[in-house]
Amino acid sequence: MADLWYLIILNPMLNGLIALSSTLFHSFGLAIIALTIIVRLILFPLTTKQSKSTKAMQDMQPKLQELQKKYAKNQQKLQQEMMKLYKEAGINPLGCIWPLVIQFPVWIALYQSIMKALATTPENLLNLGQHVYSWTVVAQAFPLSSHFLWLNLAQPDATLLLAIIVGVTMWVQQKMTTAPSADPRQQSTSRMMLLMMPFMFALFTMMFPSGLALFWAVSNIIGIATQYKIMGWGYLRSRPESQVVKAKKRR
Amino acid sequence: MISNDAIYVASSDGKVYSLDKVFGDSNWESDILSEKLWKTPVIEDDALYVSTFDGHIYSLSTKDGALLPWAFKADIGFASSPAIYQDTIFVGAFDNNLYAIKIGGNEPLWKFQGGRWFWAAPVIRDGIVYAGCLDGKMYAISAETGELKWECDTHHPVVSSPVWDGDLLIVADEAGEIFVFDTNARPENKVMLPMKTISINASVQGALCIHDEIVYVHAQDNCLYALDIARGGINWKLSLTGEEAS
Repeated sequence: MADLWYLIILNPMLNGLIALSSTLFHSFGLAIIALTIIVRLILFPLTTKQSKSTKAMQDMQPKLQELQKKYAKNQQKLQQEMMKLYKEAGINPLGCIWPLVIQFPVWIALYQSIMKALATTPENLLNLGQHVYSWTVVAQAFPLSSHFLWLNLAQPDATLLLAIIVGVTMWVQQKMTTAPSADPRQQSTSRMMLLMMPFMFALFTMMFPSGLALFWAVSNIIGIATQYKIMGWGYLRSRPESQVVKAKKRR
Repeated sequence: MISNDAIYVASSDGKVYSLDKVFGDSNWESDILSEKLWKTPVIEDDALYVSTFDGHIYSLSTKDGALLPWAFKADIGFASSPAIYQDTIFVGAFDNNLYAIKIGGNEPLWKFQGGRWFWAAPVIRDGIVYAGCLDGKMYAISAETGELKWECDTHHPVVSSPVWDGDLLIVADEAGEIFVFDTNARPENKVMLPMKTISINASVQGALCIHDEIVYVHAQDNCLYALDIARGGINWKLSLTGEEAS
């Protein structure tokens, strides 16, 4: 199974990344950016489908909540009515999950490719040597230059700049897709998640090689652009629904 | 690399250091030669030769670490430590070739194509270069012409340099199989079969060491193995982590 993973996914991606580095002025940073864009473009139809399904599911939430209240004591009827609602709206409830499932191995492979190619120790370089193709363009890429802008891609960023970029872009991307909720408990959970994930990744940025953080930053920025193209700024500008309700009451 | 009175170490900071063999005091340190130096230098007469990942071979004075006039620049980075035989440097590169470069020359004498990188430094004797490759093969190549004399497929990457026990060539592959070749034997259709093999069932990436016909192997399971080549078996195994070895 591991051999198959290397043969079909990881090795082609790894060698593609190294070949890109060779063709893009021997800059491994540019190669990471280029490969992230290429992968994002390939996955664009899936991302679009996932975003549209998520949006449709979110739009349907008020109706679903109504049904849940109405059939709180009859679970069987509730399930039937919910399925009916999905069918009428032409939505598959799992529609937003399977594109994510397909994308997941690709992101793991991209992550592994970057980590392998950076080869921060002799053992890692030796391991890399057993996965590279005999292509001239790949051979010419070595040694991969780990310097890009102010970063040493094989080391964590000593400044906080990349951590801030990763954190902020991740927050924006999440905020665009997180629908405000009228339920205060749910709202508090979403607010927590909205802050927790960007904070965690900003923390990871300070711990992992900055080549990987560069991939996160680029991926987030492309994610924001994709999201914007599909549904504008989404929920980035909106206030939580509870605040809207309070404001209406005050009036 | 150890000479009569000094130890020479290439470092990840791109410099070569010379240390006193007895006290460990620093004799000298070179200028930065490359982003990092992960390969062992070699000595010939009063010169130290070091290969770099960016395709240079530098020669330094063993007395003070100053750069000597001759240096070699290739279009491709070097993956292995250099080995010297009769004023010629043999070194593996990232294009899967083993290069022969005359000291003082500007062009390689020849290159030999392997299936993957030649990671380990080759050993040379009686005009034959013995080079292990990450493609799993052990190659014997004419030092003069680069012509293949024989090969043997070990089926696993050869990461460490071979050692000699008299006329016997001892080679370890990464899977922990130790191959013993009689270099006086005649290969069939350029394929040499090992005289015997010893299995230690642990990955081998470190250098082999031989003393009094016993080969010492530091395996990736953090154990030191003592192999009796004549008998074809393991004499003893010592855990280097303090835990009791089985």
